[in-house]
This record gives sequence, C-alpha cells and structure tokens, in this order.
Amino acid sequence: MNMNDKKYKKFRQREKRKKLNSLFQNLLLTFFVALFGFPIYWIFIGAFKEKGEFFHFPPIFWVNNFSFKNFTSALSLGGSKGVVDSLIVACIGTVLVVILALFAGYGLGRFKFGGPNLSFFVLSLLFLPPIIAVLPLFIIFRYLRIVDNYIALIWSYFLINLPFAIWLIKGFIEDLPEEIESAALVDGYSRFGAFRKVTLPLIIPGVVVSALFVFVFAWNEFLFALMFTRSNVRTLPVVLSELIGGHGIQWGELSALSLIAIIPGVILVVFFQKYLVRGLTFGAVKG
Amino acid sequence: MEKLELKSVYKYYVRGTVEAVKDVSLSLKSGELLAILGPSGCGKSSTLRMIAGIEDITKGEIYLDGEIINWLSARERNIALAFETYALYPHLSLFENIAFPLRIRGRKDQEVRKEVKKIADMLDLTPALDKLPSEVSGGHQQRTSLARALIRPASLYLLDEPLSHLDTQQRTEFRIQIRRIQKTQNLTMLFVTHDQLEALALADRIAILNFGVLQQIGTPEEVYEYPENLFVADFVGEPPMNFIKATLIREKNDYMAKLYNQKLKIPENYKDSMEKFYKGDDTEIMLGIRPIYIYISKPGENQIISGEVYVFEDIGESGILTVQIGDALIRVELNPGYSFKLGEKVNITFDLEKILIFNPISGKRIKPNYSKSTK
Repeated sequence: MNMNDKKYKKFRQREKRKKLNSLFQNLLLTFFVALFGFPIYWIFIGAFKEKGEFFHFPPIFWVNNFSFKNFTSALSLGGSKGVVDSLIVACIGTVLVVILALFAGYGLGRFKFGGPNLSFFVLSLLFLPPIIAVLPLFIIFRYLRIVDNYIALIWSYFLINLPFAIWLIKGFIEDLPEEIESAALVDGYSRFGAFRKVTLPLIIPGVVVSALFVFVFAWNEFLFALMFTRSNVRTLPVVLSELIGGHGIQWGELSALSLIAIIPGVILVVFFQKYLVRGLTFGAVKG
Repeated sequence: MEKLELKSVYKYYVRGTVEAVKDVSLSLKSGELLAILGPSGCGKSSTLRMIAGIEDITKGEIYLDGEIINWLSARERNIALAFETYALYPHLSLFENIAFPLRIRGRKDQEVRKEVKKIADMLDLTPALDKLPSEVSGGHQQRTSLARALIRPASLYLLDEPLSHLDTQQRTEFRIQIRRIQKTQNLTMLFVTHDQLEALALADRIAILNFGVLQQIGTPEEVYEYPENLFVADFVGEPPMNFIKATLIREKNDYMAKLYNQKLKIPENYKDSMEKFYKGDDTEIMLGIRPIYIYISKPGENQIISGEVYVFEDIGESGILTVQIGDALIRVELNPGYSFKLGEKVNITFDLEKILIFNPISGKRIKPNYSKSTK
C-alpha cells in the first residue's frame, strides 16, 4: 500500500465520520423538536376534537371529525372577554412602558445620569420575585379602590416591566456613537429634535424588542391577574385557569382558548424576528 | 475684528483628574484659517468640541463675534463641525446626510438639491450620493462629513482631522479644495490635525498644543523657522530638526559652542543673550538645526564636523543623509545627485545663521538680541 492509498483511506474515514456526526445531530434535533413541539401539537388537535375523543384509549393522535365547537364554546365561557381584556391591558401597558423606558433609557445611557449605581439599581429590581410585590400592591390598590380594574393590572405590569425595558433601551443608546447625536446638535437640532430625528430611528430594533417582551409578559401573566381581578376584568390566563374546575377539566375549550392565546406571540415573533435576534444579542458584540 | 477668541480655557475630565486643555488662549480673525496641531491626546479635539458647544467648558471664556458663547447650546452658536469619526447618520443616504443641515433650516427641496450637487461635485461625491454610509469607503464617508459641514452658511467652520482617512493623492487634492473654498468664500476655519505637513500647507497660522498646553501660535514660517521651544522644534518639520548637546564657552569676546571636539562660533547677534545665559565654561546648551541647513563641506572650509555615513536614503526629489558623529546621529537633507557608501567619511558644515539655541533644562529657545529672528 503506498502513501496515497493510505491518505485516501484516511480521507474516506473522515468523510464517513462527518456523515455520521451530521446524522446524529439531526436525530438529536428531531428528538428535541418533537419533545417541545408535541404539547403544542396536542393543543392544536385538541382544539378541533370532539368531546369523546379526549378520553379514548389508545389516544387519538389525529382529529377524526374537525369541529369548531370548542372555539365557540370557549369564547362564550368568558374567552371573548379574556381576549379583549388581555389586549387592553397588554397594549396600554406596553405603550406606557416603552414611552417611559425610552426617556429613562436615554437619560441613563447618554448622560450617565446617577452614575453606574443607579442604572444597576434599576436592573436589580428585575431580580425581585414578582410575588413579593403582590401583597403590598394589593393593599395599595384596595385603598385606591382599583382592585378588579384595568388600572391595577396595567400599573403592576408597568412596574414589573419597566426596569427590563429601560435596561434594554439603555444598551441600545450606549451602542450608538454619541457623536452622531452631537452632529445633529451642531447641524441645528435641539436635544429633543436630535433624539426624534436621529437617535430614535436608529434604536427602533431596541424599541420593538422591548415592546415585544413587555407585551408577551402582560399577555401571559397569571399571578397578578388572578390576585387583582374578580369579575370586572378577566384576562386570558385567568379565564384559562377557570376552565380547570373542581368537577373536571374542559379539555376542548381549554385547548381552543390556549390556541387563541398562542396566536399573538407567534405573529409578533414571526414579524419582528430580525429585530428580536438583534435585540437579544446586542450586548454580545460589545463584550 | 476677532472672529473667535479663547480666553484661558480649561477642560478637565473625570472630576478634574484628567486635564485635557490647560489655559489655552488664542484668537482667530475673520476669513482666517487656523490649524491646531499636536500629537494625539494633546487636547486639540477637546478644544474644538468646546468651541462647537458639545463639550462643557470647565473654566475660561469663548467669544464668537465679540459675544461670549459659553452658555449657548450647539445650535445657537451657528458653528459647523466636521467630525473626525465622520458621525454620519447611518440611516440616511449620503445625499440626505449632506442635505441634513439645510433640511433642518427648512430650505426648499429644489434649493437643497442644487446646493448638495454643487458641494458633491467639488468633493467628488456625486456618483455615491444614493448610497448609505455603510456602503461606501472611509474616504467617501470623510468627504461626506466635510460636505455636510461646508454646505451651510456658518460663522465658523471647525474641521476635526478632515483629511486623515484619505490616501496621499486625495489628501493633496482636497487640501487644495478646502483652501480654495475657504479663500473664495472668505470662510473662517479652524482645523485640527496631527499632520504637520497638512498644517503647514493649509493654514494661515498654526497653534501647537502639547499635553493640553498651547506651545506656540504663529504663521507656518514662524513655527518652522523660530520655534518657541524644543517640542515645537521637534514636532514641526520633516525630516525633524537635529538636536545637538553642546557646551557654551567664551573665548576672548566671542561665544562658542563646543561639540564633538569642534568649536562653532555663535553668531554675533546672540551676544547679549549668551552673556545672560553664560554661567562658566561648562554651561550646557542645546543646538537645533534643520537638515536643510546642513551641507557637505567644500574643501578648505573651516568649522567643519567630521563623521561617517550611517545611512543614505535617496527619495528622488532629495536625499536624506544620516551621519554618525560619536554616538549621535545627524540628518542632512541634500539636493539630488549625491550617493554615499556606508561608513564613508564625510565632513559637514552647519549654516550658523540658521542655528537655534535652546535652554536644555526649560526647553525654551534662547532668542538673539536683534535681526528678524527676534520674532
């Protein structure tokens, strides 16, 4: 066997190993996708199943008779109010948080307002488990007579989400060279004009990402919604939880309403994916 | 009338621990082009930014057209600034970047187009106007930043290293353009550079800064021929000035500089100042002489200094000969046509009229008592 044959053999072995590796990788990926995707798939088919099909043995992994009954039933059982209330709370909360975070993030990022400690203190509020805030907030809200009112939920989501949004936007502002803004000032804009015309268009990814996070948080939030609402306001997660009753679980309605609850998140992520990636990795490059 | 005047301006950073600019006073006449020259970190950009109004002034006063502008915001000052880092708006095309100052002032679209075209043609930017800053080279970006500063009428134009990112050919070309625009439109300009050649070529006057302190301000000729101190002498001029340690001795009524076992007669016009400086025969002085004022000695000449050829660089329009004398190296700039072998013995002569004398301790130049060099 000469030198070339040996080398060729080695080359073939290496190629074989590469193929095996990629096969193994794909298997692993398939396994995890199936593991995490199955519950969603289960909800999806559950939403269209009929009552009897839930308790069938062996389980039915496909829908035999497509029906929208579960949806109509779920929406009439408080689902439609849930969707509307969730939208109200999440949208208003998001707008408020983003506006305030823009200004706060700008101040902290651009003027190093309050030194390094203040901005870290803002972030540290994030480490607080939300449940700690529940009792004091409840007492405050009761005194203000806003329990079971949109304001209570919007207010509490505002408090919880603001630090994160400020931190995110502050990072974007810091990433932006100060000189670009100075140029706008020299060119003739006021501080606010420079912010509106130059800074804001450049940090749109940050604004979109923080809005996304705040919206999804408010949309999914359960603890505060359960504590601060009764009958006047009922967001989706609360309505969903009520479908799990003492006498049994309404699987069909639960699946249908869950499917509805997933939709906004999926839409947002699909549409704003490019901003999301940029937003989640913004700190990574700077080191 | 003075267009711009800085009176004892200071700039401290980080709560006073970094002194970027110390007690700088200078003034600028209307229609004048002043260069601030200095090595990096000497405080030249800080000075510019304080004038532009994007940096607070720690101490001192800045006047524009006779009025104090310390407390005016950048936009109230009506000063145009081209940034060293370009600071272009990344989301706008080059056209919109250049048009930006005009748009803020609410100019009509047609007028904006005309103005942008004019300046873009002048700075060779027209083919790239539709592109975004990220899509063009550093040279394009720099010229765009220059165009953005020059497009609008301002009472003062500040240019921070306006040519630093251009290649040599472009640099010469746009140096001419800047000079022409400045002269034809009678603009008052202040530009910052670390390139002494650029400063000498462009400016009416040059202010030299080091460690935030103003070293000298004067015409290119003044700073080149009569530097105030060792720093200026060393910083200005290419190839740099030769510095030679010597001792001052007195023979009869004449003062001589003793160096390398040779005695050079110090010109008559230095007599009074040498008289004051002389503290016995071991008084040290520092001689400074530019490479163009040193010659290869002709036979029979006295006051020659002998050495060996250390290296000879023939750069076409001139030749730079480095001569080793003892352990010192002396550079000589020669006309073309010479050639030397390494180690060859050479005799050189200093043009004693052009020699500068410095106090080696304070670094200050000792001035002669008369002649035009008393400047």
